[in-house]
Amino acid sequence: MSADTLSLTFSALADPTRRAILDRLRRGVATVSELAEPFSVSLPAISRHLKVLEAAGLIRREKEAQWRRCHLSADPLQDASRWVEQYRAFWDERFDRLADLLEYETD
Amino acid sequence: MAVGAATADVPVLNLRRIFKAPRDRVFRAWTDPERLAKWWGPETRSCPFVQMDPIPGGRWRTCMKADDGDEAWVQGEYKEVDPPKKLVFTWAWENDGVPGHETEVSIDFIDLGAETEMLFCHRGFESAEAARLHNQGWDSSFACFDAFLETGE
Repeated sequence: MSADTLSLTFSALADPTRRAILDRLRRGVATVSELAEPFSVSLPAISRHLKVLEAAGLIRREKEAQWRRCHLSADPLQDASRWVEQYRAFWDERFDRLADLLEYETD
Repeated sequence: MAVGAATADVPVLNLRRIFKAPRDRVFRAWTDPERLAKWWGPETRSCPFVQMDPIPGGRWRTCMKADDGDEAWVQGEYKEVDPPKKLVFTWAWENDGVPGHETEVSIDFIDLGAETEMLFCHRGFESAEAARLHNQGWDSSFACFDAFLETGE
């Protein structure tokens, strides 16, 4: 994964609203309004979160004119693999920094 | 070096790393707040809060600040603390200060002299997560129109 992809994955995991959106989509396809309903944020704010998740490759959105539904990018049967992929990227990034710190610190 | 596997609804992430440092230093990087802050966030100076009590039953809590300024709070409890060999703790992201679904991290540190092998395992529980969310009643069935959404962007 490129550094940009790692940052995007971190950004997707780090925000509670985004994590909740991913969790909701694991249970099935949803429209933007359905995703927004549990939160007290505007639809445009949800749209911003969806853009981050889409840029990270974690969800995809249908292009149909009037009804826009969101899906997890992975097959729902691969939920567990998706969880593993997300957290592997997250931890790999942390451990890269840990490796640098341990190699170059002197105390 | 990275292996992922899942059985039934329990996803498990296993990672293995070799660090160029003796074992006690690697262990301290995980259990000393000042050291942890140096590698915990996505980049330097992006870990504004670290609190930890690394004993069995002790709690820990950190804040990671993402590139766009969003803060991610996460906390947990230490289950096993056996310096410098083993560390086990729970991991729960916070939503508005309230810890959510709990997962577990288990780490073994292997002495290779001047180097250390770290065997890292993060175990999640997808089915329990799904059940919890279902109980919160997130079902709703009205849709939105794309045009409305587009004007907000």
